Amino acid sequence: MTDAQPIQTSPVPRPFADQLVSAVKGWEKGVLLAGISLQLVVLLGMTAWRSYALERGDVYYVRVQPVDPRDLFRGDYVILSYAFSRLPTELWGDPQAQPGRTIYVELVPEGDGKHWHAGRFGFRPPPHGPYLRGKIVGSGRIEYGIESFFVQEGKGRRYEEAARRGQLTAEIAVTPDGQAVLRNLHVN
Amino acid sequence: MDKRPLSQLQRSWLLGEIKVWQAQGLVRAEQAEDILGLYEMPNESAARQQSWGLFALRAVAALFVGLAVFLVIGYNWTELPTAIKLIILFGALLSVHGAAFYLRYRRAARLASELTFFFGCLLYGASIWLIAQIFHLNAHYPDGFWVWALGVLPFALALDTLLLHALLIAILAIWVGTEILDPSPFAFARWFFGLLGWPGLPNGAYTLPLLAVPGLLWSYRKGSPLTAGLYVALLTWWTVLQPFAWDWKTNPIFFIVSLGGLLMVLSEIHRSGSPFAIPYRFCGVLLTLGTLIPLSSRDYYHLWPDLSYYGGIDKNGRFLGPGIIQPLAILAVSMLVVGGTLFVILRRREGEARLTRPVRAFVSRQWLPLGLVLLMTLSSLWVALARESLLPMILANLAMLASAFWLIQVGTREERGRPFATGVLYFLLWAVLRYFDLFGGFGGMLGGAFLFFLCGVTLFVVSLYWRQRKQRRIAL
Repeated sequence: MTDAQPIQTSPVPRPFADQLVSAVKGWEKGVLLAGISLQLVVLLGMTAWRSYALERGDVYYVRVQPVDPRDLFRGDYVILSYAFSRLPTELWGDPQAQPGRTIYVELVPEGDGKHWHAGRFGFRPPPHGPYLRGKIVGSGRIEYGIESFFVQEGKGRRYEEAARRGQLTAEIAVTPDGQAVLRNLHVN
Repeated sequence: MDKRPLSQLQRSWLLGEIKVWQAQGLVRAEQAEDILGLYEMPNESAARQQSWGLFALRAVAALFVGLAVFLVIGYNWTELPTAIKLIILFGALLSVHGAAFYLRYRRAARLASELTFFFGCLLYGASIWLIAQIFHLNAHYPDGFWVWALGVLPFALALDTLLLHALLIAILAIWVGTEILDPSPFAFARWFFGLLGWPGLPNGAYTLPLLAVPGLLWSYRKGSPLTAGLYVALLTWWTVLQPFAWDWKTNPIFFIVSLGGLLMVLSEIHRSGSPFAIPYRFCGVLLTLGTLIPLSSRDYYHLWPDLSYYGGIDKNGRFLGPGIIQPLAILAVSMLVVGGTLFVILRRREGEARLTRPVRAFVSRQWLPLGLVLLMTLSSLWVALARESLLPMILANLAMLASAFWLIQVGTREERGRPFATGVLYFLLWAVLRYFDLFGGFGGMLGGAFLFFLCGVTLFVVSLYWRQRKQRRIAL
């Protein structure tokens, strides 16, 4: 541990170090309170951001595609993939389709009255209708922030099997600007 | 003025010396008492040691409880409603920090409060991951470490012990590693610089110095070389990872050896005898000696024969990987470090008109690190232009021998056993490695016997030499 006496063989940055530590120690209580506030702001921000989407977003059901079973269940969460997780072939080679680029996909209702699937993809938000906002992450893959579902330890097996049989549906909440949050998973 | 710490062993030595001084009439009885009065009494020293021992034990206990909390949270109780999970989370965090405040400012129990704050910061980290779990957040996970480190930083700077710094450094080391080696367009760091208009910049975790340098300055001000050493190791780790962030498409091993040499050079910014120079020297020697070992072996160049990313040799014996960027990077960083160090040395010279003397002294002390940097620049340039690996391998072997010699020289010049012993052991390691490389296949048992005999003779000669030096010193 430390807290030893200051040593006289002073290094070069001491004057600034002195100022910095004196300033921090002079406001010790304030700095500690600011630290606690910062921690709370971060945690509340994370909570509020997702809670808003969950509470205010419209709910849609989308089909989950089977993923390589070796990768599907890893530890305590299930990896999910959707039909709209792949970049459509017409956009391959498009100079705009670079990793990190935001991409929008329209949601179109299916005939069963419950599920929705992907419509047109584009680099601008569609003028009307529900849509998802995602990011290209390389290898022609798009992520929407709804690709992980955390489960209690040992409870992921039934989702894995349902996804393999193509019987898994994701319930997502989507805000008007296309931000999606995963609400739940349903086995059909 | 606070009494200076003194161990039992040091106290016995001091008492013996004071008796001799008194007998020789150098100090009077009251002066002897004044000298002893500067230091802790045996009971104070014992209490301090016990207090720190307890603190260390409790810190480990807090760490284990924190790990238990992580695992309990990681279990992800599906039966528990989200709201209850959040209430537990925020309630626990506020209670722990509240308790730490109470201990520090109402009970004046500073060490206990530091432990409690440490536990609170562990809980904060756990909370980040729990909230991500609750909301099935699919984000770039290194960002979680970054946000965690940001929340720990104010505590590390405001509190008085190493504990929070160690936590901060551990989190930052994980963040830098995961951020650079597992890049993602979702990364917060990329987004951060994207805002400043450099979206094409590779993700090199550039906020690391901003988060680490305040702690490094703190350690200087508090007189804690150990804390400084941890920050130096962290900054070294970050620099080592930069070639991967910038995707050099070539093996950055020459850059890493140079970095070790430059750390040794950087230790010169401290005054002679400063304990703050030790972490720089230690990290530098470790990095240099460790990296020269694979670089000096023929097998290393054959390890990844078809991957140009790692350099290596292809089937026709040609060295792969362009890598002109490497010598340029070594040159740029070296100029910065050597120039900065010389500037500090020259600015510090007291009443000495001539500039050449301190520069000459600097070069004579640091000839090996400076030579290594030059050697690595030339080796990487050779590899880039000639695409041949035999010469760099021979030079790396010479560098190993020179390093062993330099360490022995430092040990004998400064009468220090550790550099001396390290130099001798490094020489023996070189001999053993080269034996297995060159003669292991056909030398057989007799060859092995000859090698071990040679090592034994070397050690014997070295021990005789060291003994003679000690005897000469005592005679003087």
